[in-house]
Amino acid sequence: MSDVVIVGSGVAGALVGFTLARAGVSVTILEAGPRINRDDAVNVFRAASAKVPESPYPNTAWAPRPSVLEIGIPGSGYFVQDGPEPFGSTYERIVGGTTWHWLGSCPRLLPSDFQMRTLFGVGVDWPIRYADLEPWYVQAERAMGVSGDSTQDQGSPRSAGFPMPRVPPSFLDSVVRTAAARIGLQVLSTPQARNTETFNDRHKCVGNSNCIPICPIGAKYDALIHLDLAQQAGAQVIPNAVVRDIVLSPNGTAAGVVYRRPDGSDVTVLAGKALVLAANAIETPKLLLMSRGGLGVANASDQVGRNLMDHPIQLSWALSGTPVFPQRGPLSTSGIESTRAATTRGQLSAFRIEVANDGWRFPIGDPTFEFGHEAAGTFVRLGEGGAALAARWRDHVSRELRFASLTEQLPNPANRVTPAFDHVDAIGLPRPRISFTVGRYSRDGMAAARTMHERLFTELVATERNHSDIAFGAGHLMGTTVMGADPARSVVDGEGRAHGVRNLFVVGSSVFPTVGTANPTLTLAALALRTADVLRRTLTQLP
Amino acid sequence: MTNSGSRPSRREFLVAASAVLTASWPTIAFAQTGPVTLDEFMDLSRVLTDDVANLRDNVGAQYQAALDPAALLQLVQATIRAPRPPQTFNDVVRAGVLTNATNAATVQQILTYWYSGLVGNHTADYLGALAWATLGFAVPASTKIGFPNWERRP
Repeated sequence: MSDVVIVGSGVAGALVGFTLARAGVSVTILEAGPRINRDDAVNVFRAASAKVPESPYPNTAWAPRPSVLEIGIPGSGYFVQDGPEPFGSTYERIVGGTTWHWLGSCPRLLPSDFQMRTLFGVGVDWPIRYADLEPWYVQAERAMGVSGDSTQDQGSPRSAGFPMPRVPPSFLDSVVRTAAARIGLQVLSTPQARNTETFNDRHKCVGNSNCIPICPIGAKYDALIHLDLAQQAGAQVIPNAVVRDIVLSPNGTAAGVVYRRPDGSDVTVLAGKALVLAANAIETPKLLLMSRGGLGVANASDQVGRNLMDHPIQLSWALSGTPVFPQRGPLSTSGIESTRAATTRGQLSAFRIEVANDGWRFPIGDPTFEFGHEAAGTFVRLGEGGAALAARWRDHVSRELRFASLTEQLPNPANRVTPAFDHVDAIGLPRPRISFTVGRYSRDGMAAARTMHERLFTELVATERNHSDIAFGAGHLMGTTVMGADPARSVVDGEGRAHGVRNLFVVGSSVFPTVGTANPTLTLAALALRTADVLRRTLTQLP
Repeated sequence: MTNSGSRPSRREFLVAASAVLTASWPTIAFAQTGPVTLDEFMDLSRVLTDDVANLRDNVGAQYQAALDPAALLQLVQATIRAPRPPQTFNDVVRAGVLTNATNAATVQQILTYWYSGLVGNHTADYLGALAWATLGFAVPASTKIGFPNWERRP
């Protein structure tokens, strides 16, 4: 038995585990998937024919995961997609979770993001305000090692500077910055959990240009850092432990969990004080709903699994009129933030424009794919070769541009995750059934973003302009166990405690009531640290 | 009885020479029409790419194996085995080799292999793929070498 059992070893679980273990609490962290060796994963990535976010990582029989290669192909993949639109984001089920292939961008939410109902008449208000979370943003930035420009106003007031100087903007950023300024837009340095100097004994980023799917040197923060620290402080991490049931005691508190091993055998782990779910916005609600033989846990509100949200992306790509030399440095070092606070919020989604350094890798694939991808054909023209081909290719790649605008999706109870008891995986556990639609609010925001991208392309004298009609998933899984003050309309309170089960806590972006336009990891880390602090202070009173 | 130390007679010389010619002629003919060797494929690849980057034999062997042997043979006959083999891609063009549709398609496929590093769904070479190797201003993703001066124009 441990005082605290944590389900999930991503950034939220790792931070909670470390915080508690460091305070002398006995902690067990359960992870569905296996441990990963970084060098091995890099080699797997290089050998993979498709260079997608999931390429370096195993899709095990006992902890299957979704893949972008299967999104939108009916009947394929881990998700049971019930539509009407496919849910386009994925995640990993391995030790360290999806921080293995996150981008590393760490913008904060805006103060207005916490009051969508009050200020704009859409969505809901959070039970906490920006000021409540600000000190925890500072703690999260220090824990993860965020680099940023403390002199820039990103719209989110700061009480402390960044732990490290900003990541240098790319040459591409400087070209886009000049063009954007002509239409009144400001390109700002993106705060990111990426070392610009040696930090916590980790190397600084040297621009391997491979943050997604894997940083080969660990210069980008990932959850392994706090998992290792947690273990050094006495926590136990158990891989290949697929939690399938939450055990309640007769008084209704969480007593522990049952996990299934790859061989199909079950193991019960008791939680002496508290249970923390940190298994992302798909697996956490699935576990809550499948527990107790499908009766569910902490679902008196019928809100568990509902309000699944993403940051649906408007993706645009083109060739700049002059070389911008992408494929160098981190995949994104700058963004346009002013559009996040658009005055049209309430009518249509605001958006954050990510300026990318990775050429056309997101829409088309790795540069090698521009020659070998069956659908796209080959870059080589008939009758072309030699030095002339090399020169044309070099010129092409040197001008590759890509913008991705993250829109804010409103909570919609019909966007939902449930356990598909009729579609089980190899160890007999239900796969996630997902009902999802992007919604008009985001679609209109995407249209506005597309217009903005087009204006930028014009300023950049860009050719071969492309705007995707598909709302790409951002990989940002949010909602499904939303926080709120009203137990009838939310799953957890403002501190992450489940309504009705006082020693059950949920951490991660599944607790977001609304999603703003900021990449969610920093916010979920800040919330996780805040919940960990509540746990640390109140543990003696639990369960 | 023949003395091994004595010079051969004219007749003996003619018979021996005839035997050598008889034996070697089919070999020469085989080299000009037989299967394409890896050395020939690598020579052809260097010509088609204008030797813009290092090409590795073990990778080339995979590309060669994936090509239509008859089409490759036809292309090699027209280039590497020609009386005056081309030295550059433009030599290939000037010789009219690519006016033949099969040759043009085979050249396109060979170049696609070298640039993509892919053979079907298999990666033959990622770090050495010409799509990366010919850029000059960037290095292949994941190299651990990196490109630390990304803020500057290369």
